[in-house]
Amino acid sequence: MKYGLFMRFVTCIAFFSGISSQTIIGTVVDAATKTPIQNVNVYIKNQNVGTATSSSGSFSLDYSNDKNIILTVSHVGYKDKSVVIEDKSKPLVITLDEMFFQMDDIVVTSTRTDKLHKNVPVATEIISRKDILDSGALNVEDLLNGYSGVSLQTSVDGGSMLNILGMDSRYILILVDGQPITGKFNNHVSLDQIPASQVKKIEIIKGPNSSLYGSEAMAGVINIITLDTSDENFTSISIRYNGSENKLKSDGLNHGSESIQFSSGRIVGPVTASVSCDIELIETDKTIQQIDADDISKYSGTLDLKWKASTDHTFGLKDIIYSHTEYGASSLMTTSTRINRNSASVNHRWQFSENWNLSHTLNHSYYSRSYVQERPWGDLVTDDLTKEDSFEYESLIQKETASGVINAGFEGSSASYTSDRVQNGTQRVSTASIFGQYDFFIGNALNMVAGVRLDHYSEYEAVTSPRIGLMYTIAERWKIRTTWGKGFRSPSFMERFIDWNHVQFGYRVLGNSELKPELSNGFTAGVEYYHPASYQVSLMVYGTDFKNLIEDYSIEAGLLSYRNIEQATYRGLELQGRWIISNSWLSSWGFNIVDNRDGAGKLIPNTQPLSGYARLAYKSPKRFWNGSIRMKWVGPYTPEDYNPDTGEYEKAGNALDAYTILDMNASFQVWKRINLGFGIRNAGDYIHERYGPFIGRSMFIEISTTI
Amino acid sequence: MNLITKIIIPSLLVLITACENNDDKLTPAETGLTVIDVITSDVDDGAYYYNFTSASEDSSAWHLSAQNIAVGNYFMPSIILDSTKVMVAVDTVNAFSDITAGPSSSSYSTSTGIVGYGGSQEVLNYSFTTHTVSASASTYFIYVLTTHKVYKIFFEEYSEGVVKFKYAEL
Repeated sequence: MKYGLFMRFVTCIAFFSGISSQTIIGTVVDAATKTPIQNVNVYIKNQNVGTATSSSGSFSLDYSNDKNIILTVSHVGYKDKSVVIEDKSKPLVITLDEMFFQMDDIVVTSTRTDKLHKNVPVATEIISRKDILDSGALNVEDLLNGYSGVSLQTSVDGGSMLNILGMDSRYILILVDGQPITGKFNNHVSLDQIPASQVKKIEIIKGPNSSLYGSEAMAGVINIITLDTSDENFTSISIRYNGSENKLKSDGLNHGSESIQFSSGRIVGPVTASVSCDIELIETDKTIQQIDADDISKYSGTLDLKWKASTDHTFGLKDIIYSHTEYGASSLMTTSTRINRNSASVNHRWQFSENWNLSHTLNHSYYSRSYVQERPWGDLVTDDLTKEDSFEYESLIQKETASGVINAGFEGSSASYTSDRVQNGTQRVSTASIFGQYDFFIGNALNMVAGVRLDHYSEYEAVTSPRIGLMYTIAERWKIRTTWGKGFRSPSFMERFIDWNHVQFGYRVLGNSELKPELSNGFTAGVEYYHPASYQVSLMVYGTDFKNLIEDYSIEAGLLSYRNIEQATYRGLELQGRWIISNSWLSSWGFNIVDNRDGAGKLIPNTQPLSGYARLAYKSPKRFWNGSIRMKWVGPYTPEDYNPDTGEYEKAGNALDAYTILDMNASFQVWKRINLGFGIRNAGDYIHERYGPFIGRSMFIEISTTI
Repeated sequence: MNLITKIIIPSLLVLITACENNDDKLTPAETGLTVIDVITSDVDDGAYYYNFTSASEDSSAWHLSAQNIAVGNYFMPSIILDSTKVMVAVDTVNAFSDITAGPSSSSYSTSTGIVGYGGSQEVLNYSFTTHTVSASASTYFIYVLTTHKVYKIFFEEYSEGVVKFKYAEL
């Protein structure tokens, strides 16, 4: 887009300079579908003139009369093409071949600056839009669970939580469009509440990153970047029916889930707008014990507006809403859960000089969760209401220098938490933070990024979090990356203020307002080989030491609280690769070794030490169909059960055998822009009723169109 | 008591089993078994006691109890049988509705603790992996020493301190 504007500018200069010119007109279309392509850069190199195609794919380009006109045509997602123009009098029709798979992408999370993935000094993994579409995943939890080093655990409230590289997800900061996600319940957020269809890409930053993002970035950051106003008009609709998974069907349940997804984007002058909504209706069975509901309904929507008021000022508005209801009924209890979430943010970006820009964002997030349990004979057992309300203002100033980029920023937030389960009903915390970072080159080969952040909380002392990252380019395609940083996690509202009787087991939990932040100190070091057209392989080792970890403990029988005592050391190795076999075939794979131990050197219970994944994707050259196979392997491990008698985790019998989860997806173009998709999840039907995976084989069919 | 448990009761059980073995296999409908549903009170408010003979809640003369027992720092739901009044056997294979006769006398155990928390045949199991309490899918047999009656019992559900079970006299 920037390139296109530049070309227009160059063309204007040529026009006003009075050079005698003629005009070439033409259209750029997709070679396979013959549909016009918008925003293609069309450029005559030896005359320094260029333009970009309109929404109908057409262009008009003035040129000075010359015998040899070579038109260079380029677009993100398509192979570049050079065309020698012999007959300039006829309208041109130029076809471009789509690059089905791309090796590189823009990363924003690692340094808060747009950088090509290969040029980021901090270890970063990207799950691209194409990866997401190929996965067939319905939501982010489902998507991430297909990768090695990621596993699902069941949380105490019956929901599921992600465990990444053996680490509880509360130590990984989860952002949506750069803003911390709200609505954690029992310190965990449910990523199954974010539909995959609304996600543009996911960036995963490894290692402590509190120097940029503050609390919770103890072991990594996951930034879920939702679809934004695209460069072109579009409307897409898809309807999916998910068959009931095998285990439930054997119990006589023949209903699964239905989902409908709609999204549309429009460009009207300087304003771009997009809306998307997802509806998912799930009929399940409460008898499957980790699900406490029979019927689940999820509704989510996103509104995104951008207004380019001038060349210097851009304004944005984004609103993400989510509504979730669950009903469950048995002969002894009916339960109903209602969750509402709304996150609205306004953003202004001001390019106030060639090298300086200021971006500031005001965000308001609201979350509520109502949980009601009632006996069929009318006795009310539980009626809990939890509300979280937060405002955050963030200001980021950026300066580009000859050798790098300087970032400096301020964040202030105020959050309140209201729950029947916390002391005094409502608690409030405010924070103020400043941070700075310099991303620069030393010579041509060494890229360094150094930053520090100071977070001040209303309740306890300030926390300082530095980070240093280095990337050394050994040769054109070999890179070494290493980072060191500190992270922290502020104690949650529940850990500090909870006052709750656990009805099920008759004990009381009291928060501890004296808790200190949990701290981490970690490094990553890795080497990468990168071939721009074919493949990329990276090997990374990491280690993170935690201290002041918060654990629950017993004050007396039947009365629990929290305290800072635990220490832990997490070490691991990660090997990842991506290979573009041909223009139709792509493979990617990963392998993880995890060695996580507590302060006494004992393995952290239920860590899966070995895991791997592999994905093979195919798209037919004419794009009539595409398919992918995704395989996740989990190595053998010995699960441990908590023994309430001893208060320790104890080995639960023999080691579990290794297992493999196989997912397959295929999509066919049945008529013009209408696609029919099929998928099988957990094709091998592997389940383990006690330790998971809990969901057996299921199939889905999906019909979709993009206009 | 020892004489009763070691000689007389097993002899009676053998007699009962032998008699039953001579019967034709009957469908549940043909047997005319009366199935009784029981829902306990909330055991978080105090232990619940049940007497099969009187088919009623009875804290003074009980055969089965549902109660929270202290395990470490927690209180775990558990089914307790009065070992002085009953013996127990477990069928892990057949469905409750298909069972028309009790097991052989040798199947019964006086170690009624096996059905309680942590027992080899525990009725209520708490999974710290899924953080849920589930009821066993097995059918339990209770032999009441004083009346020599056998009952089959199936525990259908546990929810927040309340247990639902059904039973029938065989």
